[in-house]
Amino acid sequence: MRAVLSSILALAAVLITWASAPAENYPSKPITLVVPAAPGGVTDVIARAVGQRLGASLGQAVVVENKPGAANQLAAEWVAHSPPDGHTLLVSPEATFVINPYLFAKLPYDPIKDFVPVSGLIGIHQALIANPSLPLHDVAELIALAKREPGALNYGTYGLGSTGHLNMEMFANAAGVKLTAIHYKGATPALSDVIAGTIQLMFISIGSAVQPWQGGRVHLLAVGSKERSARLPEIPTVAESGLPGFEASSWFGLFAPAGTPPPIVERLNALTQGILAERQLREKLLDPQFFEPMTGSPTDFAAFIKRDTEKWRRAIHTAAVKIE
Amino acid sequence: MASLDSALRALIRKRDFYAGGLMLIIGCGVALKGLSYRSGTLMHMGPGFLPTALGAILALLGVAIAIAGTSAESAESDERILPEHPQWWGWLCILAGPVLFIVCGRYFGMIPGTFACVFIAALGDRTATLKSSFVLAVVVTIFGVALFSYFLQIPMPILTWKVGS
Amino acid sequence: MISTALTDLWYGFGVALEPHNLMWCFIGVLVGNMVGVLPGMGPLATISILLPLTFAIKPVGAILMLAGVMYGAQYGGAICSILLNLPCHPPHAVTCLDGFPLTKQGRGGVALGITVLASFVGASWGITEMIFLSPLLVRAALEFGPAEVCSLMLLGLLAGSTLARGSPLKGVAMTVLGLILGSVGTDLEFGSERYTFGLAELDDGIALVALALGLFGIAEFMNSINQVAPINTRYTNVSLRDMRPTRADLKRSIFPMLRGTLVGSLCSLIPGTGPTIASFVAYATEKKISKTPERFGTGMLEGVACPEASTHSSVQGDFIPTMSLGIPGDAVMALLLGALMIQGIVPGPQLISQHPDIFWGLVASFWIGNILLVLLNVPLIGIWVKMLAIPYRYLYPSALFFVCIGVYAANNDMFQVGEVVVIGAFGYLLLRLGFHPAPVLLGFVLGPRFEENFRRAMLISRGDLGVFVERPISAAFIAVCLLLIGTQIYFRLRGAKTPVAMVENAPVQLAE
Repeated sequence: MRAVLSSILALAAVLITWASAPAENYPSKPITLVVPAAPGGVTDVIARAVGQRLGASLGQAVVVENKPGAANQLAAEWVAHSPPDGHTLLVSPEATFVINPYLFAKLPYDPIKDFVPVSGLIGIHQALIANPSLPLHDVAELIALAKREPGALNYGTYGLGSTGHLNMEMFANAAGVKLTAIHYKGATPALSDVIAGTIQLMFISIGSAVQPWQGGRVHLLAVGSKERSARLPEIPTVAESGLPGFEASSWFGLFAPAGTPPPIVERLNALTQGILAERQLREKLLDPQFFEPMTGSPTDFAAFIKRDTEKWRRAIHTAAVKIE
Repeated sequence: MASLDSALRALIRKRDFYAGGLMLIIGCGVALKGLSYRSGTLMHMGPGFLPTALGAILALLGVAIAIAGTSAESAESDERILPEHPQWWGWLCILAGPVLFIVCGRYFGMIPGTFACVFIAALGDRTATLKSSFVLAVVVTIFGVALFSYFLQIPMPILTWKVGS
Repeated sequence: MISTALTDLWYGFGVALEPHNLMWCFIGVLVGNMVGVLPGMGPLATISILLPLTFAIKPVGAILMLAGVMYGAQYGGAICSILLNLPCHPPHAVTCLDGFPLTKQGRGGVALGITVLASFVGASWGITEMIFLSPLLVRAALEFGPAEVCSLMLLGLLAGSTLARGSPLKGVAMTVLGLILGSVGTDLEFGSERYTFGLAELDDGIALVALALGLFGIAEFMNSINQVAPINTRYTNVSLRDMRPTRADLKRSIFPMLRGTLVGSLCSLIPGTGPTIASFVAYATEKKISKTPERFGTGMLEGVACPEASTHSSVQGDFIPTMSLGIPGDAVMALLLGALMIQGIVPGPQLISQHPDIFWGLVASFWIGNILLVLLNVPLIGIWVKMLAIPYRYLYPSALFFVCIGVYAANNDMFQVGEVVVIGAFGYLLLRLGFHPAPVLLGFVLGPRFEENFRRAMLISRGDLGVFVERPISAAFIAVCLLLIGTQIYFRLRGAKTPVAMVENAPVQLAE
């Protein structure tokens, strides 16, 4: 009888240890950060910068795997079906979670059920730039011009349904003007065309707008953040230029497949937050590129995503963007 | 009547008849599917405009090729679709190689994928033996894994078991 | 201005020749060259793998190495095209057309030698451009709006559809087929899926790498398997002397090299046109202005020198908008800029003034790297030619594996390997029916850009077709198009005594 009892206890002890082993032995092999974009883009740069430091903290190699395609769907699907042991993570822009569900009739993944938000990484605000040939220096002048010639002004986007597209539509809606969208494959060709004068306007991340603006190639009309940027104090926000409450933003976050043990999620969150607070990272990468680190626990992040989802749902509805 | 019949027979023997026919079929298929997308106008092209137009052009070209084939010189008409000695087994092996690479590589890793691909492809050659193909597969696998996995760090697991995922 | 550029360049050499920087440059070109010989993978995948290495080293060394991978890869790409009729990367597909026949004539080594020379000439011009002409070129590039690019694409399509040997009708049909294949994927403006049959993997279209390797690689294997000694032993017992180009060879090749260089640098200016388009356009132009166009495709050295020079000059030229404006010309450039960003360097017009060591060190390293590559490649020619001595039955399964893994590694996507198989089988069928695959690639690459820019031009002009002739550059391209069509019709009407008719009557060679 005693033998049976002690065996059961021993077995229970083993089982409990075995069940909790994954969290304690984490990470037991190299970690893969899946990036739904080709190497070199913002998502990729963030993933590599964070991943390198994460690997140093965890003592395991962190490998970035690029899986571009199908508007982030391929990468999301891949991670959603990966084993939830914390060794496969997704670094993704907001589109995958808050925009895609409203853009596409069906997705090969469920943005809520298939993933666990681990941590917000960075947020970006977008700036409104214009080609210098137009006599525009601020938002008020732009709105006036747009009202005089409805539909005449062309703006560039980096894709149908992209944040650049939706933000501009929200802007036009709030300002009561009509602008014509011209879609490009990516931000770079669109920016080139604004500089060349082929198109007149676009919303682009502040980090990408600063250098052309300083070089005199574009006019920086306003920034889409809630408050003026500390490093660009002379540029007004769109909100204070006549469209109160307007915000043109975009964010990137770290996600794990649903079912990843909470201790692992918490640990990753703590490490990531620590990395984002590192002075060296801020000075080298975040500040020069106007990346704003996102703080908060996994629960905070999840709540943020929920709020943001609603915002984009309304934006897509307003913009009447639909994929045929 | 008889001349039409023999002309038709001559046509069917000419390779360009089939060449043109293939283009005709593809072109029609593309154009028909293209019509299901919105065409729009020339000024404001919808998703279906260009593919439908292209499909129609290809179909027309197909007809032109077939017709041009009827008046072709003897040099053209001597060419046959299948080569003198059709290498069905060889072709099958070549096509099976990558297929096995995909399947074995995806579910079992780089080593099985490489081995299977090279092995089956090598068998396609008339002078290959099971043993020579095996040896070649082993050599290429060792070299390939060393090069691609260790040196170039390609993100593909060497050996894994992903059946069921 | 020239004198300041020279002083800066001198400074750059000082930076680039520092021992550790030199080492990184060497590693970069070495890895790049090796990757260039391997089918499929390409500089993009390689640089992304090497990126973590760069975190620990200073920015100058990092960018020297990564850039070295980029242009180093171009040197290796022609080798398999010439010797095996297998283009390792799309820009070298055109080189197969004349390169492989040269190998069959036993002159593969000569072709390789000319290629190395052409590469160096092309790259040198690209570098010179970058040093002295950057501001001018950037300004010229800004003149190219959607109407201009669209007209240029049209010109490219018209010129290139008769690029391969054989019946022009079939060539045009292949171009149209390529255009159709290019429209597979998500529509840019409306987001609708075209011809994807519900497969999400096709949302971004068929992969160019898969198309090139399937049409040229798999189809070629199927064509050559079990054929009696296609390229073997006879041609490998060549001595080093036989491999050196003769003076006559050099004389024939020098002007095509220069012309190809010019085409390449023009293409690097125009947004969205990369080395692949440059190589096609260069080849097509060379063929059009040649006195013996019907011999293209049978082993003309011009047909090898010209596209290779244009590819290299295009690749070097791609650095110009990237470094001057901070606007990357293509994905690899974007990655290079990303690497700089991680190091804390903000790419943009201020880069030259804020970090002259990076900019001028990079430019100087281009020279050094290209010289290193020439020194590396010339002795290797003999080794590559010896590779032909390997019995085909060992060669093709190995090459098949390299193709598979290369295509997989290019985008971490097994589906694309599947694309290669399907396209390969279909490509072989096309070969047997007397079609030639090269124009398919051309149509595939030019078509989407044509459509995108046509639509954009129409949107911006609000439906005014006249925009194509109102803008001067675009009008010029349209005029050349009309000229091309006009001369074709004229020659057809005149009858059989013309080169065009001779091309039409020549039997199509299959193993090209």
